[in-house]
Amino acid sequence: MTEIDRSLHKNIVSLFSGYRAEWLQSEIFDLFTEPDYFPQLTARHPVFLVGGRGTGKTTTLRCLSYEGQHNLRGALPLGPDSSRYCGVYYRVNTNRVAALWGDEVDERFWTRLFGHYFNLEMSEAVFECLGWLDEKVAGVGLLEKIDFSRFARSLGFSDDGGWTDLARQVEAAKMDFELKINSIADSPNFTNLSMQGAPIDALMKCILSCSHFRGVTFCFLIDEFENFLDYQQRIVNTLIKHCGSWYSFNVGVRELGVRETATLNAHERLNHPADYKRIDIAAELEPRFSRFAQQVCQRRLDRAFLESGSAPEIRSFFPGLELSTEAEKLGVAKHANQLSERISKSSVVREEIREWVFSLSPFEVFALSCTAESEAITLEEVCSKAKDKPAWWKTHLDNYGYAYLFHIRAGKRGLRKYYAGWEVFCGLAAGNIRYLIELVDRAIELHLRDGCDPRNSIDQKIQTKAAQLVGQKNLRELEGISIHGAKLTRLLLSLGRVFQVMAEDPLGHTPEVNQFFISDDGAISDSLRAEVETVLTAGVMNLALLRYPGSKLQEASDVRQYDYALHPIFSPFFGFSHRRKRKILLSSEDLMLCVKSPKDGVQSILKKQNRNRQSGIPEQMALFEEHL
Amino acid sequence: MSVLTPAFTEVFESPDTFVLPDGSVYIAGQSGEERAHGYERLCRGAEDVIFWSLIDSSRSLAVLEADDGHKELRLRSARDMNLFVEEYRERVIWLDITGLPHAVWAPLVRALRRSPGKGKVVYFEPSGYRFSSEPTPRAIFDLSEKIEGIAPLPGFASLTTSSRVARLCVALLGFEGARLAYALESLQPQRQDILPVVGVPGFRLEFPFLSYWGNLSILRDSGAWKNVRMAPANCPFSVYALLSELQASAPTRSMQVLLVGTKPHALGAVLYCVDHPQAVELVYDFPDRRADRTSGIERVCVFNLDRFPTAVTG
Repeated sequence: MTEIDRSLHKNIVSLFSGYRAEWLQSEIFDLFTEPDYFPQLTARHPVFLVGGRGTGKTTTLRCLSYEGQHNLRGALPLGPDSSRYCGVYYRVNTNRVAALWGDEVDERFWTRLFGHYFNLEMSEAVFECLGWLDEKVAGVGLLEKIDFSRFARSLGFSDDGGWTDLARQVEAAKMDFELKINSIADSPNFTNLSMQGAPIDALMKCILSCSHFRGVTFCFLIDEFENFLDYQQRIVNTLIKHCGSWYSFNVGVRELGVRETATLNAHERLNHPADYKRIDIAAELEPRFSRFAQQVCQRRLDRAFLESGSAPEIRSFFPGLELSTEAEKLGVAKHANQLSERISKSSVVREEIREWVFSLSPFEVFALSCTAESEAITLEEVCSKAKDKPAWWKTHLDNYGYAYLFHIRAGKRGLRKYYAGWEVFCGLAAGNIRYLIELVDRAIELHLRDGCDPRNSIDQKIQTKAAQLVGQKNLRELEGISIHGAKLTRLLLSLGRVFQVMAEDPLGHTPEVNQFFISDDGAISDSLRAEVETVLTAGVMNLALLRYPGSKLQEASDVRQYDYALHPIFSPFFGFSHRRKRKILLSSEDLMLCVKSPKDGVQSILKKQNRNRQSGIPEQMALFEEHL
Repeated sequence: MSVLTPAFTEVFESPDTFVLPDGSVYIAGQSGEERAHGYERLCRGAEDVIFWSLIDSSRSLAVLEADDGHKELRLRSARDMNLFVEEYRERVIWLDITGLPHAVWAPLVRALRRSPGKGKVVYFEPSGYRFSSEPTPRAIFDLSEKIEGIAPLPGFASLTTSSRVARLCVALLGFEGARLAYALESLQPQRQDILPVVGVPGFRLEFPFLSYWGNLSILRDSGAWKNVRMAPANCPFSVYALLSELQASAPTRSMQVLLVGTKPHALGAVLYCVDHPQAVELVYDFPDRRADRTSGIERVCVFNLDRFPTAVTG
């Protein structure tokens, strides 16, 4: 390996391994690719940016912040050439907001306390922004021109010492507040609790009244909104509803992370689209995800190749496989030869049919045999039918061809199905940019580890191995991403195994089953209903599951009325189709059996799906064999 | 008889080699673990011991019972904690953290620390750990039954440090990698800021390896394995010293300390936080521990808070 190759190798690994926003530091701005929905976030209307882990919420919000905008565009939120947009980033820290709850005082008082705390937090964030701005335009005396008296009054502060003194008073107020919260059972005297939102309003008015800032849109960028406790969400909802024209909010939140749409006023709720715009990242990106992902990865690749000539196109690194080519790589010829031999020896097959069969690809011959078994007719009959009705045969192949691929190496050792190609990788990521970068990263890592040239495309086997490893890693990580992590892991293991067994045994069954919906014959207990809802909600929030409006969706808040799919990122690990296709019915009891006892859950579901034979566990799943 | 120990710590090879001094006050919790009953052997033969046993607790309240009555301590009440400690001004208080939840012992440690010359902390090392499965990356620890979620320990909420400043994330490691993963997922520190601390030497020779093994995937994926530091698993003062050293090396940066390891390590972090509340934010995930998670009793550690000078704290 030459010195240039070594450096290129290092650059590629380093640029693709940083697939989490918090790992990128300042590179987050250099590597940022603007999603199509980005301009919608700089309007004055509040926005909820909804998406699972890794869909780019944090990256987007951080790039909207004043530091981000300065890095990206060199823009400052003032002056005639400014972006006129000033985003103030704030991540909700679970360890802090959880402190503002307990049975020492009632919810009404916690509401007052949190309202005050949030005022201080937002004020501090704004002062940090002003301090940063003051440094950027040193010597102008920008902040000395702002009259902060209205803000000072709202918090009972003195405004004699200018903005730096006010910032110090905010800090001191927070320290005092912390002390009192830590001994709240002693009924400390919380004097000077500010009115909810009043200091934020006042601060914004003070700043925006200054000629330097006139016309600037201030926006609080609240990340991980789901971390707020329910009553805290109501308070922030109230602020969002009534933020008026002085400032706005952009909120990053996981799907189902908005548990409360109520405000503090019992008669009003936070309504979409009247009060805010909802951007569902996955849905927004879906039609253009491949292009967006290509831009994101190409940007990294171009940087990696800076000193090594021009970078190849990222898509070209990931060649896919046509159906028949994949079948041949999976060894379909062996099956096809046997069948061809049988046809050639058959006395009932007409000569023209025989010739037609010999002209087919090995995969089509194999598909004929699968079809015969599925429809319980003879091979000879299916050959005649296919030859005589080419339109029927084409439709049949379109519908079942992909499913038959899983049958070629059913129960065999080694690789049973390929997952390769740029579009397949995009399908596995399902709109999640972090997953896509992870797939690319892992594939490149394995490719380079094999000693391959960094400029050459990546073998389909390596791509498949990478996809399996990424699925396995994310399955393992599920344990640690939520308090329901272990339940989700067991649910995924069970359903993954169910779909894998069904995928390998498609003959005579509905093909490509990888979704489910919940339905029960009779009434179920409230506790079982609650358990199911908890698991499904946690599954969606933590990207174990994707959900889609069901055919009978009546009430959007009822999680049981949706269809669910295992996230496609897990499909290569288990070995079922990553394409969103067909669903099975599960009872609440079966779902919870999967969570509590995966082996029993798998058996129960497979029995109902008329799959009594279970093939051996695929090699990549061997680590989890004891649970299945 | 005590054996060679780190400063301020006395280690006894067996509970039978140590007798509680007469006139002591002893606070302990009940649990299904054998070692949580080790105090019974310590108290044998001691005269005039006031024994307080925790009979119930929540995040806000601890209910203690003694022969002659019971007491309710509000955990977010400095007054309750201080009054309790002050009540035994003439006696030495022995706080046995082995069977007490963090939410109960941490506020008591604060009160003891603020009343110098009063307190000793007792900890019984287990002979072994019983896992639902081997602590390998493939093991499934039942978090849903073991973790309630990230929240501050009562009285240790840290609300003042700006969330925007990148903080050092010191993770006191145990065996359960999923707990570390969950804490990191919640805090989202930058990779280079994660500093794992492994208990070396461990309670037993092989424990540090199990600790690495249990946390393998997260250490590898985050690259934090490069930053690993070590401190004896049964020594709170080593953790205290390590935190002091880290703070000294970066005085303007505050630290988040993840309590997912041994109780002595957690004790060190709590002590440091009591002495330097602005420098440290404690992060705890409130695991719901299995009653049979450990077996046997190995050694008894006595941590002499009363001898640990506040001057060391700087």
